Amino acid sequence: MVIFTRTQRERRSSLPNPGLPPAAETRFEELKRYVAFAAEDAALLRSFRDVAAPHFARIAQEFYDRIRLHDEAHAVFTGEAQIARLQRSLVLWMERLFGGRYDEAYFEDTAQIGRVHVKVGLPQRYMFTAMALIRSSLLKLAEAAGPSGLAVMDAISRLLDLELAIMLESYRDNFVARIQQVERLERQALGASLARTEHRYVNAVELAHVIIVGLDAQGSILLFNQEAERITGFARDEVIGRSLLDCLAIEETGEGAELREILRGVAAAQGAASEREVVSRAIETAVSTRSGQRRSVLWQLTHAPSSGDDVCVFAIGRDTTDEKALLARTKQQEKLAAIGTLAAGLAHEIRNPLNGAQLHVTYLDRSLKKSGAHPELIETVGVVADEIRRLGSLVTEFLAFARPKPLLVKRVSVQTLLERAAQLVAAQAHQHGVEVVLDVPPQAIELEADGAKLEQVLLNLTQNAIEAVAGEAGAGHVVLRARRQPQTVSFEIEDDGPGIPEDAPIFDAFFSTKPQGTGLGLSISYRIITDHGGTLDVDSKRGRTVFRIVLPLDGPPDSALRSRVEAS
Amino acid sequence: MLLDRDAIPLTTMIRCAIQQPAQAGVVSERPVSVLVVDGEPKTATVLVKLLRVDGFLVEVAADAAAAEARVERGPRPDVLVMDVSPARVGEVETLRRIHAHHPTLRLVLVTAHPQVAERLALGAAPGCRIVTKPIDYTGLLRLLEVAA
Repeated sequence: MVIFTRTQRERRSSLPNPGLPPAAETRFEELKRYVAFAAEDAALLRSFRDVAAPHFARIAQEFYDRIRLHDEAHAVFTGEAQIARLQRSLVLWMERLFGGRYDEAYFEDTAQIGRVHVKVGLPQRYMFTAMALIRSSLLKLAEAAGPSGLAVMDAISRLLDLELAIMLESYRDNFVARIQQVERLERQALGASLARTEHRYVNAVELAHVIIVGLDAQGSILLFNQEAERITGFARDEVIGRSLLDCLAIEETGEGAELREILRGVAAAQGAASEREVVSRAIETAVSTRSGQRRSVLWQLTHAPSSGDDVCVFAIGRDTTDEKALLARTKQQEKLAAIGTLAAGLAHEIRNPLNGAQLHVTYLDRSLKKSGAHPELIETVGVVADEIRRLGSLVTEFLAFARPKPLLVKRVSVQTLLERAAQLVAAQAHQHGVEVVLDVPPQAIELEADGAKLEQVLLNLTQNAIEAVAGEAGAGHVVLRARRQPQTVSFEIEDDGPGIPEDAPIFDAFFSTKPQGTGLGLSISYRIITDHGGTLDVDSKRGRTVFRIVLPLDGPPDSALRSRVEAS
Repeated sequence: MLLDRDAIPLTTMIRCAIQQPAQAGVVSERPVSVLVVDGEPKTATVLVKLLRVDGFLVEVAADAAAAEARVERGPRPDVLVMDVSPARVGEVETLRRIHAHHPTLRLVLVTAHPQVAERLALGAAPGCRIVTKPIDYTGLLRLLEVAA
């Protein structure tokens, strides 16, 4: 291996070996090695200096005159002053060419000249053509020197190639720097754009007013958005990694079974190379919240098999609990309105013949008693009279349910209402050995409501509760409770009776479990509460049944004003 | 069971009255005169029979117009027991006139539509009593005695 150092420079053979870079070689040294520029060249150039120097000013003049003929190249310059300056610089540069010292300082000067050209925006092609012009002029000088000029021509050519190589390097450096800058900007823009896009998608998922749950092939939760947290009451860290079906206690029958079937299908399809998205039909299931409440959710499952993400099913859910309740209430109201119209007409048709029958039975009863008829006959007539009365009350009750009088809204005391209800049932409770307990807060609660109608509801619910616990072993307690919330007041009538069968339509008219019941009591209560803008719900299991009334403290939302005006 | 006192305020009142010991108001010096106004002859007939047995002086008129004519002709009855229906046009107006001419004449209105009757009749004849069909005869008796 041949090692060149600064001190060991020598003219190399005519077969340079550019493939063997010596250690610690500078770029300039490397270039010189390539074009075989050696100390002899340096000496030749130095010796030619005195011959060439008188021509430098002329050559520079010719050079710039040539440029003046070229529009594009000339466009690089800003004016005559600059051209004059550059012309002088060109003379200096030529003097430098024949200076005889071609060291690292020389290299650095050339590189600087290259950078200046890059800076003023001279295109690379003009660097070549300009160099060709200079070369031509200088070679002519050497040529004119006779046979000895051949070696000088060779040296000039090598040096100008070096100059060109060094200057072009500046273009390369600049180009690399510009590319790096562009890349940096692009990366920044891409990063910002990615961050922005991610932010947007995260927001879309998190702020959406739908439940969004991402599941893996096994049905485990990997994504659980804010709405999912809000509806279910579970924080995401509690559910991530757990099975959706287990977490939310989705039923195993009905629509829940269908949901399970879809998830099983997804697990089975995993691995099969299906890239098609599959959207399920809407499935409505009940889910359990963290507090154990059951809510209704309408799901749509999208199977989105994608490489690079474990989430392969998106379950999008909408909480339909309130919507369903509202729909049921609206339906109930519409049904009631229709029944009301019918009932009013029917009441007339029933009460008139009943009136004739009742008066005639009264007359018959009187006559039989007066004529000393058999007691059995008198009793028979009495039964008919009772039955007529019962029919009469049924019509009255039914009308109260189907076409109630407008509410008479006044300020009423919650405590007073419950105390009165307790008083009114005291005898009945005592008779059945049932204990009725009042659980009301000490501070007075008042609300805008039709006191008489509310009392009727409380009485009805309390009597039902007493009847439910009467004769039930281990039972016998009824609690009348009231609590205040910011905008509402809640009443609870709780008993420890046997509970209500889950699917019993207890709020439907004419549904009754009592032999003598008309099946209108709870329907009327329900109507009174909903007319007040409140809700009446039941929560029942064996040993604990709670009827819960929630009423707005400010009274019925729309009818309040009207009723108050009517009342006055 | 549920008892809607708003829908049947009178019967509640009557039931309360029944619980009190019976008064001997019927056998007074002058019998109470009642004009029964009912377009249904069978019902009118049996009501008249019952009231007469209980010592009232009873007459019958077939409709409101006939009742008005009878009251105007005199002698004026003590109580008018009148079947009213919102379906009969002009009835409320007749009632209003009778009440205007004879403010002390007691009015007991028998109806299948107590709510409607209440709304219409109380405006026409304040102080009138409304009885929902089917008539509870014992209750009606107490009402007539109070009215007398």
